[in-house]
Amino acid sequence: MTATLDRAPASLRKAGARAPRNREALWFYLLASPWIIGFVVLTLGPMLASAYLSLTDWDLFTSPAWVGLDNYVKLFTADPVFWKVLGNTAFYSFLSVPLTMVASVGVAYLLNKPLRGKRIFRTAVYLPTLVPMVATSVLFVWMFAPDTGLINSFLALFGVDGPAWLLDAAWVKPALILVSVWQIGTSVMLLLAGMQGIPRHLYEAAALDGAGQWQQFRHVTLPMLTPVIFFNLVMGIIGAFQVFAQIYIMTGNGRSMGGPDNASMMIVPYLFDHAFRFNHMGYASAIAWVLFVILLALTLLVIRSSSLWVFYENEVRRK
Amino acid sequence: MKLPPKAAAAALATGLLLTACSSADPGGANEKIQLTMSVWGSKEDAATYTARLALAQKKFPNITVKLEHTPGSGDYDQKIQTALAGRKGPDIMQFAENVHVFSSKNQLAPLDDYLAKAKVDLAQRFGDRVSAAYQREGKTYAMPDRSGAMVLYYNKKAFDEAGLKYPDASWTWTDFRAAAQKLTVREGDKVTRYGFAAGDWWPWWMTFMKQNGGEIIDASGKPVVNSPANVEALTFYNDLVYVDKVAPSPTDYANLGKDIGPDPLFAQGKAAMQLTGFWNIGALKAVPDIQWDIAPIWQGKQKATVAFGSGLSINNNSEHKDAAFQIIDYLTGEEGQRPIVENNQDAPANLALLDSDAFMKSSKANMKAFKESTAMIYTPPTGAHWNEMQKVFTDALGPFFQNKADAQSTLDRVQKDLQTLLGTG
Repeated sequence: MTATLDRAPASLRKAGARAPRNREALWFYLLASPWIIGFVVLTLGPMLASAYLSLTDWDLFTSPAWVGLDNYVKLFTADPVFWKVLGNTAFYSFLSVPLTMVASVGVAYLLNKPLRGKRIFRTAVYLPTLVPMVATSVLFVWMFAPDTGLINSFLALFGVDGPAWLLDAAWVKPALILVSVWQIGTSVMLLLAGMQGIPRHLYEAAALDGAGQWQQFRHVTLPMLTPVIFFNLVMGIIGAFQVFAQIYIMTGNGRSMGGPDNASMMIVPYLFDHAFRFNHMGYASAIAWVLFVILLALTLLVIRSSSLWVFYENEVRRK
Repeated sequence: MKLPPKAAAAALATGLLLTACSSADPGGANEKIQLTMSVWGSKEDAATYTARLALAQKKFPNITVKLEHTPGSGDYDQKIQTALAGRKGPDIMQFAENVHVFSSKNQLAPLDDYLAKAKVDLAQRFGDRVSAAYQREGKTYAMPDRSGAMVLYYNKKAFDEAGLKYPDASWTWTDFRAAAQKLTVREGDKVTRYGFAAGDWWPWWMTFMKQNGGEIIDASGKPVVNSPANVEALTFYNDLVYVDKVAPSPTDYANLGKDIGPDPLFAQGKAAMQLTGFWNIGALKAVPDIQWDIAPIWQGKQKATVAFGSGLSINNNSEHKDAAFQIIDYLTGEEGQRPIVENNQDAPANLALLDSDAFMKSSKANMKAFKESTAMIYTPPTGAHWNEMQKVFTDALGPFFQNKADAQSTLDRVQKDLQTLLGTG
């Protein structure tokens, strides 16, 4: 390439004063092209298409009929199930995300202690993450069985008459939240790595200042982990709002899901039903965009608030 | 085969020329036609379809049909749907109760002209009740292919022990209920054998409604679900679980494991009676300790049962509809249906075969029950909105089957939701 430039006419060479930068840009686009093409073809294209489809009535077969904002209006004014779905999804997410956050920090903290057999414990905590969600869901269906399941059999030892879990409108969401807490392996691993990256001298300094275990955790470990917690929080929120497989398997029977009476119906399963079972592609696209806006708003909220609570080592905290 | 470039080009040109010639002569007897046909089911199902297509190949040497088999049935609809939406899809497709989800979207070719041309009399070949399930707004969208009615499976040993006469078509609801009570075995509070096992699937409870003279949708297309007849039928049905305690509740099923239904309960000898389709004959072969037989279902105010069948449809976008019709006409004829009986795959839709000695002798069970049941078959209210209707049923009936709502308010809700759905409110 250099040779080509050298042989270029003087006029061009003059313009090529910025050539190194141009060349750098060229390489940038070249190397980034797999991602750029992937994004445009596989993400941006379908997104634009679904934005258009959300303004139409489309059954997948006959051509889409333009209906303007009707789908959105119907979602919020004429579809009582959708409000229930939003409520369920919010309930699930706002409980499962904080619970998994607290549980994963706690478990990571314990696993970071110089325990005997800590490798075994670490493996045990991470292992559930390696089990496919479908298998996990089937397993939990057995665990949640009203009388014969492991959980209620255990509760019965203490004289507690456990609920019917998946069959009970009041308990099906808590059951799903329990499953999500079981899946903390990945965030625990990230937190553990974060903890091991905290310089020893910070703890030594804190100890010299008379900080006890709790104060060290509170004033050294936790602030130093905030970048990882921040990451876990954003991913957790997105994952929780998009919950699907658990619903499909645990409260579904192949013909319908989200029962009893939609008590566990969430946004993505609802979208799936409309798109692939009821042939309401336009309506399903509108649901997808509502989900996108919710996730965008929540993610922005977390990112904007991050300057208040996320602490990077080299950073001087803004007051 | 390696050809020099020029020869290859020449071959290609000749090939194109030949294609051009042949397409100018559609329906020519020597034209090679390649069709695809998609079906779902087990490996055994696939083998039977393959055997039938081999017969068709002999009959129509110029038509080759490639079988596309989807294991199980869960993903079949979505697979077909995706293919059809891409303006592709197989020429011939197997459909069951959801045929009108597709027919209402112009995806299936109406067969009436072809049937008239080939002088096929549907009522004579299949009986008018079976064909009706595949008709919508006066047009036929599939030819019935397999059609095992839902029949009563009963545990003979349980009947003998209880000193009961084996059931037959003359049974009434009273006979059935009394038998279910006698057949239930309890140890303390625990039921060790249920007299009857069913659940929330529509063929079960809807059959009781229908037998009681109830309807879901009336002739004009309006929902009429919350009728006294239907309330009475549902109450009777749920009383078996919560009053007589002779049938398992959703909680009982959940205690037995994921997706456990009446079929495994019956096979384990934990239920003395169940309503199910032909497929259970094959499943029960694997459990030789259970002595069982089948009978047509009891009757209420009238006789009624559903047909668990499937039909064969033609893709409206197919380029070879004539050839495709020749194939499905043959496959649903006596000759083309024979492997269904020989392989013990299902009850054939063709009445001549359903009545044949071969079918009667294909199992030790009382195979006449299927023929007797064909006259009782009702057409379920399937239509363009069938999948959504089922969602309405499941949502509203879920609490009812858990005994958390009464029949009247449940059906009032179904009525209201169906009116909203079908735009008839």
